[in-house]
Amino acid sequence: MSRDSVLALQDLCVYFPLKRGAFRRSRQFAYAVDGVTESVGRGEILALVGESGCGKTTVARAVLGLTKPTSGSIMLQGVDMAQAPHKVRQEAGAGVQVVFQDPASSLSPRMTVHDIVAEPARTRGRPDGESLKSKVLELLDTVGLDTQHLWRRPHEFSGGQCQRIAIARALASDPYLVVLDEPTSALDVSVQARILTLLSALRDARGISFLLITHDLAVAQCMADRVAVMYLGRIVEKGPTHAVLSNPLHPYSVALLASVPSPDPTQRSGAAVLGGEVPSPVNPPTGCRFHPRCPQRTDICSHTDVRLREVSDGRSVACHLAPETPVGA
Amino acid sequence: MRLLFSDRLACVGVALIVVVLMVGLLAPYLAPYPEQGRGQSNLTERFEAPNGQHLLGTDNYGRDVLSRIIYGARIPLVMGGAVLIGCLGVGVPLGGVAGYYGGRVDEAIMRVTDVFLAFPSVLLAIALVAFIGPSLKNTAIALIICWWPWYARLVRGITVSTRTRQYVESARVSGVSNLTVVRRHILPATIGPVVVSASLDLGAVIISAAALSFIGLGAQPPTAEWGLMMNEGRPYILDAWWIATFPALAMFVLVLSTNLLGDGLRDALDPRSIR
Amino acid sequence: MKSGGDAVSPSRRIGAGGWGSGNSHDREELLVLHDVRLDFESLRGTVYALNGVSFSLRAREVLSLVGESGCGKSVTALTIMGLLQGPQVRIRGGEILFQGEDLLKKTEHEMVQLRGKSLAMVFQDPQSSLNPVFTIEKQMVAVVRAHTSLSKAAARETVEESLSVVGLPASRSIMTAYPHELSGGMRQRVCMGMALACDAPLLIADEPTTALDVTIQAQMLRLLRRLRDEKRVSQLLITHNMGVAAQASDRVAVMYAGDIVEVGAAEDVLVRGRHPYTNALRACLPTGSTAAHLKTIPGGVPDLLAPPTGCRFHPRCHLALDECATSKPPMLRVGNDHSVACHAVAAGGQEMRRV
Repeated sequence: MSRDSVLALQDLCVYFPLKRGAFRRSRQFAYAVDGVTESVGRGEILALVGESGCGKTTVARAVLGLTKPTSGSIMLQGVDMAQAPHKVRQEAGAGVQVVFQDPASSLSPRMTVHDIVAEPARTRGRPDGESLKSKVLELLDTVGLDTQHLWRRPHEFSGGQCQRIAIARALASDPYLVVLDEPTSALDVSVQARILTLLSALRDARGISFLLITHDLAVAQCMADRVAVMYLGRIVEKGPTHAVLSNPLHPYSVALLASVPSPDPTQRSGAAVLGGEVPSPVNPPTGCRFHPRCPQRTDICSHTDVRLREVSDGRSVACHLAPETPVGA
Repeated sequence: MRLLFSDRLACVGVALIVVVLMVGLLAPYLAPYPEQGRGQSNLTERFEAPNGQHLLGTDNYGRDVLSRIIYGARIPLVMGGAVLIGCLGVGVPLGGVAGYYGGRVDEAIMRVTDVFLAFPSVLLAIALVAFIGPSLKNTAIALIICWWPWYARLVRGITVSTRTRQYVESARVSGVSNLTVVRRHILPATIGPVVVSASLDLGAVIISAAALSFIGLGAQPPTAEWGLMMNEGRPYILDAWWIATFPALAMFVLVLSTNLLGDGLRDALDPRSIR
Repeated sequence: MKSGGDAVSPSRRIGAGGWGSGNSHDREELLVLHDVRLDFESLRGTVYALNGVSFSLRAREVLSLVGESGCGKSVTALTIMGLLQGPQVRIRGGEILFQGEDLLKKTEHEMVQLRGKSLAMVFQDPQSSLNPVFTIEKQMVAVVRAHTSLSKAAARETVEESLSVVGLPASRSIMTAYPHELSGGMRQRVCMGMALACDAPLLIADEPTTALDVTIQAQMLRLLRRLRDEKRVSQLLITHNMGVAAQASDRVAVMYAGDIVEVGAAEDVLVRGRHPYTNALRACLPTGSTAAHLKTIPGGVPDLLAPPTGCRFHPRCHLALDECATSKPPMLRVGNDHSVACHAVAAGGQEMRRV
């Protein structure tokens, strides 16, 4: 697993204290991420999938250093981001970049494309104007953006073009890991296809690893090498993309897959639709967190907690009912 | 800017403010009786009604009211500008720090602003000036102390909402230092609202400063200051109405034009009108 | 207190009355758009938003309007509802026949009467379509009473029943809740319940599931299907998601830059689509296991300030003929219930090879 991992999460927990007013100390927490262990290898694309509130975005923010983990460790290229000296952490953190979902709000409305893309390069060293400009032009060319647009501002671009600018900015600091937080959710399908093709090509050409956060299983399927399905702050199932998505073992993964509407009207899903909604992360259910919605729950599920266990090569599932060895994995 | 100048009323405001500024600057050349403008009394011509020699009449010391108004034009805009710059100087950094770092710092700074805002501001200013002694400089200091919390709050609010914007987070992820993030991403977002707020406040500051002078806590005689002139003319308002009325009119026109400018700026800088 | 049965039946009758309108057979056309043209003035010039939109929706049928953002699908919905108003909006022609009456000729007062009672609409963002300061009960009862002559108690019964139909069975606690206390899925259900409470024969749903998670979306699609089957509500579903369209609708109309380019039974359009745009759109969907085989459409969505002449898709079309640039292709019937607006298909240079 950890052959040459650029990112390793060990039992990562992020709890948010609930606001209780100015003078009272909060004792309640939202368990946004609760014990996530995962790693991303060099040049690998890992997709974290799940519905809103499952904690996938919080994992991403913790990796980016935007949210402080409550406990557990984050290792970036072998550097422990909680303990290593400041300089070393800064060095390791600089190689991690991000592309957010909303192209309109992830680019500063007051800056030109040149300044946006040049900003990361400016923070390290002070390159002169000409070499900076040529670097920016090269990046714009890489992401397939017309280099004439150099001095325009974000509002003059379409959503897809903005996302290309955001990708160019992420590439500007020569990252080894890019976090993609729902990179195509705000885009039309024809534009989405182009951005996915671009990202895929970047991985092949530059060996960048991606941590892909998405709720769209189709996107995960065509992009990721491995998938981790999250539910209420925990990974419930993980493994190679093809294996997980073609033969899901956890009842939640099964339901998630069955819920995706097929674009083929002749394949109307008759499968049972998952009832209920995701419970609040403030009072997560006891035992297996999925048990109140699980169509296959048994007594043990409601009182005994369940941990991820490996069921076959590279595949793990957190379910009491999962077979010891999967069929046809 | 283009949007601002497409607004007729705002143009009028700007033009009037420029006129007042120029009049103040060129007072020694424009005033018919410069030495009277500076305060020299001329007891032979007291209480003269407006006439060919003294277009706006003379006051109780025989000084030419027009000359004094012209000399008085120097004070309000300088006063307003100084007070607002002082407020920005105190309020913007404090608000920015409170908003950007949050937590206890935020809590502490905001409670201090609460304390200041809980007092009626003019009353606070009167108390302060009474304490540190009446003068134009002290009036400015008192008004800054009364006014900065508004700017701290405004800037804090904008900072809090901007800090969580994704482009700011992207910059932080790129390793941009806190100071640079604030300078490059957060301060520019505050400029528009702060400028609009300051231009709308300019009139209020001018009036407050004049009010303090009017009650004797600001400019001291024989300085030509419009508020003070109104006070000096007050006892004679029935017999020599021109002494108090013309400074009041001048004040009215100036405050009106700052409000016109403020409204124009607000419309021009409104994010909804961009694009 | 009247009994529940009493309370519900009058509203039922109103609904049923709206349905029959003299026509005996069940599948009459409920809503017909004929050559609707609409522009609006923007700061940058005239936006030619709808370029002669025609389609029909039969009773008890779900029609999906699919297309990418800016293709005019939401504008179409708002035009039907009469919600596009103001001096900058110009309807340049066409008619919208609802139950045989032209909605474009109605006064605003008449439209107010129709909205809610006969034409219900739910939006993408259920948060903003509910008033945050009233409880669910208050706002729903007010809507029901505005359109029926029910007493307050009877209206409440109706509301309660329609909430249980949309799958909010603990209606009592839902009814006393404020919108912000509900989840996104529950709010969308409330909106649909609101549409249902007045027994509107036509529900226009503008991206009703876009803001929801997939498992909630699946629940919602199931609900929409039940509304059609059990409550006989016809639906016009606006969506950019081909999967939603495929799963929820009987017929599909594909829009591109203000034109309907293809319309027909869901299987015909989404599986055996003939228009090059429909097929390109399908090919963009990530279905396989790599991004390598993803197809893309060259170029971008045209600027509706200066739309291309002729067929608006021709600059991006790999089948474009000379005439595509000059004349707008007419709707051509290519199957039992399947029409395509494409010169290339008409010329027989059909795109038989599947993309």
